[in-house]
Amino acid sequence: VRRFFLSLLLAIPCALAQPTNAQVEPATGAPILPTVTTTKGMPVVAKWPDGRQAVVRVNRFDPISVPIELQVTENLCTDTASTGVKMDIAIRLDVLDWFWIAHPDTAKIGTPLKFKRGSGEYLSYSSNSLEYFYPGVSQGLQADRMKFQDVKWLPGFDDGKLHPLRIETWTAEIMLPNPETGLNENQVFGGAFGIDAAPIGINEFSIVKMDSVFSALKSNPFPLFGDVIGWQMPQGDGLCQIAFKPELSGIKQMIDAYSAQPRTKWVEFIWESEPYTLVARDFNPFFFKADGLGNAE
Amino acid sequence: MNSSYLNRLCLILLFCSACSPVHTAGPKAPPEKTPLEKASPVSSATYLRKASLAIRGITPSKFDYEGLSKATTENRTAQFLSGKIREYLASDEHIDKMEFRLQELFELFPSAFSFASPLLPSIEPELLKEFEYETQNSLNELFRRITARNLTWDTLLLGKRYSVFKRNSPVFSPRSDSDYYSAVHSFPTDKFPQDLAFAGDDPRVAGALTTGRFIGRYGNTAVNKNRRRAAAIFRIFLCDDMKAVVVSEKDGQDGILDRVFPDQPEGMPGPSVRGDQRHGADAACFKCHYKLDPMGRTFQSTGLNLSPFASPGALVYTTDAGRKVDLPGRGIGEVAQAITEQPEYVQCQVRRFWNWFIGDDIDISSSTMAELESKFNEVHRQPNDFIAYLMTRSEFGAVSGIADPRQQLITDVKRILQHCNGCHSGRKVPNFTNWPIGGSDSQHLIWLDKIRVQLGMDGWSPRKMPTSDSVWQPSSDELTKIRTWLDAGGPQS
Repeated sequence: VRRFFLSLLLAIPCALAQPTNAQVEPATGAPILPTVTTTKGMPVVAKWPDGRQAVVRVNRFDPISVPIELQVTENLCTDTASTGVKMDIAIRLDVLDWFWIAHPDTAKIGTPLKFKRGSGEYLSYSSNSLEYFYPGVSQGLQADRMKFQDVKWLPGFDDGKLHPLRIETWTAEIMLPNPETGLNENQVFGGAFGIDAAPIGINEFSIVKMDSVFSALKSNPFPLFGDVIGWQMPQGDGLCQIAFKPELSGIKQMIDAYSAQPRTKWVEFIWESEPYTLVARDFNPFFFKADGLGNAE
Repeated sequence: MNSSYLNRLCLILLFCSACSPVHTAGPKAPPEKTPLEKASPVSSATYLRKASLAIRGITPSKFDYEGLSKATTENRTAQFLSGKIREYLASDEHIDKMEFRLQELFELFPSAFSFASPLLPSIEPELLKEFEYETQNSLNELFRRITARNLTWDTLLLGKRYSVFKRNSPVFSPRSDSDYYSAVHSFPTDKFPQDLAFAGDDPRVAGALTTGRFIGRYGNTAVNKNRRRAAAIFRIFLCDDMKAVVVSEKDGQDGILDRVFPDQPEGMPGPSVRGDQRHGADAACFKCHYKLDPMGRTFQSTGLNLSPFASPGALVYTTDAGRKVDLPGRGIGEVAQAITEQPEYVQCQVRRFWNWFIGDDIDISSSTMAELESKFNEVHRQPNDFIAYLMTRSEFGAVSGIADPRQQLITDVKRILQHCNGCHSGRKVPNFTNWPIGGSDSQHLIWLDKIRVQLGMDGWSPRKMPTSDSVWQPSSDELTKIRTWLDAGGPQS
């Protein structure tokens, strides 16, 4: 029962979760394993005993802005009719892959390694929220923005003036099995403490700071979003809550289309010179697992 | 002999007399009675076996029995038994068993060592790591530390020190302590476990309640508003077991749904509705919400991690005697402190130990409860000292299974009626286990009739209680016991 439960846990059907690269299992028999070398400031190189060599290259895509609309489902802060908020979340995709640089079949040199089970690509998404876990990943991304029709339904904004917006706790929920009981239940999956947003226009704010971010899945570029979103906002000496339902239906198609763009900007991936090396380190067992390269062609 | 030596000797004697009430020293002392000899029909060997099972969960060793036999011939049985109890209370098995009891109390998944069985030889190393976390986390470490160091039981609520572990799962780590405390503390190295200590008056921190495992076990949602966590605290620390209402549209329980989501379009909560306040203010819901909501607010700033700032809340409830408790706190730390200062907390914890070590089939009279409460405080609420005391009580040596049938019926009915208190509490409905019900014998008889009617036992009324949305439903055996008790005139003792 426990094993079944854990397998469910590891196979969370989350549309927003970052895909991991397809990993090749070693074939029966003894695959010829390469030696993978990671040296600071140098390309990541795999060398096979038979003289074949491969390096990791990265294709860095231009950032895009993902619009997510949040509808208010409950406002315990004010009685004013709530009009919701539209958010623009900046993300960037970096695709990493192995390329042959030495091979007896010279036609293969400069082409990606082929695996028996799918592509060897590793898709690494960056977002401002991931900056907390992987410092540097948000370089080049514009700040996330929040656009309101009006702000009178927010606590402290009934004076009609624009001033900084503070969200003490932001939580995102999805349905997950509770590890202690095995029962599926809505639970907090990610979020942040101390979100400060500065006004940049009429009813428009830019998120300038998050004290800390928490996420059950650290590679998820959208830790602030789930099936239900809760804001705890300062009101008087305490906090009050506003709950939202985000409109996520078009997000997956948008990200799929973004990640399906042709890879035309491959450059050498230099170890520890790029912020996303940190991401690769966290997912070392998936990405640099040497035995996965054993059957590459 | 210098004064330092004398002081130490005096301290040792004081310590021994404090931790072992049955111990008397001196070769010329009159023959002692063992704790069970005072009132129990069981033999010393049976007593030893019972103590070992209660404390360690295993039977005494062959050497223990041999030692007992030798001690008996030398007329020092009491010394031997009290020494063995101290030895058992210092054993790893006792720490394991108390950890297990606490996990059960907190309704947590059992810890790893129960799986380290030869019956499971093919357990995978990766899977084993998942199991390991169930013992290697700050909550379980706290459980073990309280027992191992005989810390005051209040540490469960007031503890400010943690051992922080890291769960090495690259994919999903909602309960890793290193993550849970990351918003309030930067860990200097990646080597875990690491010690983490908060100031004694930090309002954000409250022992077991501010651990990743507790927060993960009792998850929160925007709708729930931390009431699940609040309900767990009332159940664990105040023995106030509130039952959740399960709403089913199929059963035509629209009235309950309307209370939860008033003035909202069918199927979807609408915008800008302050439904929570109306729900909480509804008379039927208020019975629990007036307690749960102020407590839940102390977790309002919690996400998956311990929040950098405290969230104010309060301990609010009404005692069986009608005393109103309303104690605000700057955060869960202060509310937890308030809990430990309530007599209901002491009674609840005393009853907990009684059930663990004496048995929940043996009733506690009000005079016994007073003795137990006094002793619990006298030993500074230190669990091992209190357990040692319980072992000296005559009830510990009592042989179960031969209880007076009438007394057994009363005990059983009281336990069954405890479920009713989960929903019924307040001025209009008295506590069903505080006998005589309603405070007097005449009221007791009136309430017996009401119970008979509500349970459909008067011959013509349909059963109304518990309502169909109640999580708890009595079994046919339980209903038979209540009927027998009612037919006997609701005896109280």
